[in-house]
Amino acid sequence: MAKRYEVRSSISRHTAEELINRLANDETFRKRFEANPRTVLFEHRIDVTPESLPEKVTLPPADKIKELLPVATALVDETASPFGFLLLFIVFGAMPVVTVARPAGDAAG
Amino acid sequence: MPRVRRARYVCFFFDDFPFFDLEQLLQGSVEPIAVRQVYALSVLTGQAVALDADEFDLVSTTPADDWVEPADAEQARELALRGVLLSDEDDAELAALRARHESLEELGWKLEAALYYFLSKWQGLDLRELAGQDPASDLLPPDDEAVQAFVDLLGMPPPAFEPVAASARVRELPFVEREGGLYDVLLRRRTTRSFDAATPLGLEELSVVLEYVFGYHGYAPLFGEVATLKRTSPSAGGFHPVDAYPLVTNVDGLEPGLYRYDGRDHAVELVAPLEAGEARRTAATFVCGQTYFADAHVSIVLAARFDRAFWKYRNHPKALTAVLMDAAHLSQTLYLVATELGLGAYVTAAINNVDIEERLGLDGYRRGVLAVCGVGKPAAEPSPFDPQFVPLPRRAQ
Repeated sequence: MAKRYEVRSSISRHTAEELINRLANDETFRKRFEANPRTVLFEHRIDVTPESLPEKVTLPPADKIKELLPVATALVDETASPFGFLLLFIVFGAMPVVTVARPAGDAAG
Repeated sequence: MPRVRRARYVCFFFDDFPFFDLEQLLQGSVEPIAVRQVYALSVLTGQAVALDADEFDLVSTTPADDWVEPADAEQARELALRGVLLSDEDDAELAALRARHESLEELGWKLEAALYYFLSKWQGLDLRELAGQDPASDLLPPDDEAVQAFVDLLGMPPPAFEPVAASARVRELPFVEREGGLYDVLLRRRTTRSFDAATPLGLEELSVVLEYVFGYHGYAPLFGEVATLKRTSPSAGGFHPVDAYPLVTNVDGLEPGLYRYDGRDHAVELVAPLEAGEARRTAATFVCGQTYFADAHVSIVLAARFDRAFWKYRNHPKALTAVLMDAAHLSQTLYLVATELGLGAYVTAAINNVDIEERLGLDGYRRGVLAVCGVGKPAAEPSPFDPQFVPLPRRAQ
């Protein structure tokens, strides 16, 4: 019987961005992830059953993650996000424009 | 076991965002995917809460009108703490969320209006920090490079003037020149961002502003104690649910502090005294670090009495719009009165609503902040933020 892969996820856009960024750029975080994958994923609101994890977790190279991030980004229409995706601030002598990457209350991260 | 019910002041939406296939990732390879995530948007916490499939199932099968024992108590408690469910557990945080929900229901907040109002409130936002500037200094205008980067990113804005269709029938109207009085005031009216800190505002000047902008000038009994009121600005139903809370920074004969204006008896009630420097810092916090506004001699918080507005317009789709319009009318009247007095005025919606409500002791549900306006002695030199207007060329008559 094939091994069943079970995961419960309530990861938010913000948390996903943060996780990808650290997987791509933070070597200490990557080592901790490989050593304690279930704990780290749970901290990011992803609950993987122990049986679903491989015996040894080996992350793909950081460069590979960086390289394929644009491919993932292209799968969705960022402009259609209800959260927006930019951090802008500017004052033109009138009402300041503040567009945040997510609502102040995106607590799911 | 604590019981739960679904909060009514919640709505759901989906968001797609880029991620990687987790199973592949754990085995050392990268497979880009788009995650389709469902969120609950909770008015109670002002937060978007990402839900997994089990959580969504629990929420969608929990009734809103009946307390039930959840199958998964821990999961239900977590959702209650995030404002998606309500819990009858004897816990201070959960009790506060229940009380907020009761207030919303009792007052007749329309769901759509509540979502907009409560999720657009700001707290602790400082434009100086966002701009990478010193939060203890004055806000500086952006340089040309920053403005160019903004335009490069977003492109040019739509034209200022909508072009007339070639096929449209156009009737040119005569320009009728009017001078003096109201017309002169209307043309001189503008936002002031540079105030003269060396010259205090006169108590009589403040008194005129408050009386003719926020004071009540008429009373029409309708039925028993129900009455419609008259101010110099219009209000839906004549209810005038917007109150003024002056934050006095520099007024001759009036100590700095937070006040509530009593528009019936034309008096100010001290809410909290402040030192002069503290008053200015408080004003800057209120207006998100817009220090050019914080320099005004008096900033005036416009706060709605939603319980009064919604007494008549209960669960009404236009109720919040009407309240927001009231605040807008009052701010324009403030500009006109200030201009006539030779004073400067401002209004801004870029405010830290939650911080202001905490300082004023408003609960945010029955009473909530809408905008901040202000008045003061204008400085001789304009602010670098001020646009320099030139007359618009008119078509030939």
